[in-house]
Amino acid sequence: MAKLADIEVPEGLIASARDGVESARAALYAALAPATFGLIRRLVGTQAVAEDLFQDTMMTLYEHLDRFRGDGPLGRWVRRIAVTKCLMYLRSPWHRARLQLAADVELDSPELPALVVAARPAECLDVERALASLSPTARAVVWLFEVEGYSHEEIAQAFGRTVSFSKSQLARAHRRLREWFEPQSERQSCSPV
Amino acid sequence: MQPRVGMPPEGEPDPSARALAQKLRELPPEVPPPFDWAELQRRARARAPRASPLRRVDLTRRTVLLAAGLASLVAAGVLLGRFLENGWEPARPAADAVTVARAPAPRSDFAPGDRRDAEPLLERAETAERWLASTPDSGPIVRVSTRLAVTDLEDRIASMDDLLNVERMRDARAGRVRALQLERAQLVDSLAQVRYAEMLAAELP
Repeated sequence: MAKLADIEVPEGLIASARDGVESARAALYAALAPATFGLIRRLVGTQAVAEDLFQDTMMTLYEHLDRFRGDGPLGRWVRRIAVTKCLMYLRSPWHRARLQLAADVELDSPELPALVVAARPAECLDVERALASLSPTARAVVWLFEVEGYSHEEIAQAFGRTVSFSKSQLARAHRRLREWFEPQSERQSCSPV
Repeated sequence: MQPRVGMPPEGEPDPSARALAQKLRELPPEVPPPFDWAELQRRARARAPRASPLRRVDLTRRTVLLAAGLASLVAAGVLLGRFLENGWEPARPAADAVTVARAPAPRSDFAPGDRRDAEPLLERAETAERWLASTPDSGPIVRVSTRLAVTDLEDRIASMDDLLNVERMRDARAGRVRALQLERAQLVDSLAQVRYAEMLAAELP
């Protein structure tokens, strides 16, 4: 399974999708949708919100496909769209307040949606739960830094904040994750066998 | 951008941070999407504008309503400017108005009349905020100009929240906090008006 930023699509397929060829557009969806939804799901945490942002991201992809210049993998371009949409959502005060309320309710027993739970080893679910226990901002920062490879400068720019904001959010996320895993440090890796 | 190997914020090697980062990176990057290609197409069609004469009428109505919403936004801005600059005349209470007991107000730089007049604005903003929180996440807003106006207002409200937090932590003068609260209330009010106008426009046949 490839990370979204690494997904490359043949130029011919992109050109056909631009021209409106139905099968090519469907093939693009098949290639990009799972990794796009995986990224959005990890960034925003809430299933219903992730679905909305996923829909928005995929529609933007098709509406603006003619702007893709091909100077990198298509997946990286889609990742930029998805991250921008997620961060716009997280920055909105209304959504922020609602996410905070939801987080307060979920903190006691962070439940994971069936979609994420399906066919996952138990040790992976631990990591998913640990991630779900973070605040929306801290979760987005730790994911962008540790998994997507963003720098603190890039995260600060994306959030419209300072570099120290990014560093402090990351430190907070690390502390919280460490607390989560300390009693379970003997668990095995969740790499696919 | 390649993932780093668990560097802590200070930039020093940290085995536990490295282990945490490793756990995160081992999560499967793909999650089955909530709907398939056919469903995305159906949703895209439902969202796309229809090129029909009826639709043109609909768009005209939308434009009028949008203009009304934006006009009220501008009017709210002008009123706020006037209020911050000069204050406004306090409304005269009716002779038989019910007197409501109030807790002692915090020290403020505002005249008593200003404070009394600000209460309805704050109450209205509180109601608007509850209504906005109850509206759908993505909402019916599809016009880029309106989306930008809404995003701008939301960002300004978020900045105002940050400023209020900073001022409260610095134990700032109550008058300064009050002024920020009023400005925030005005922004919330404006946002509610724009959102409401858009929702009305979206529901027109």
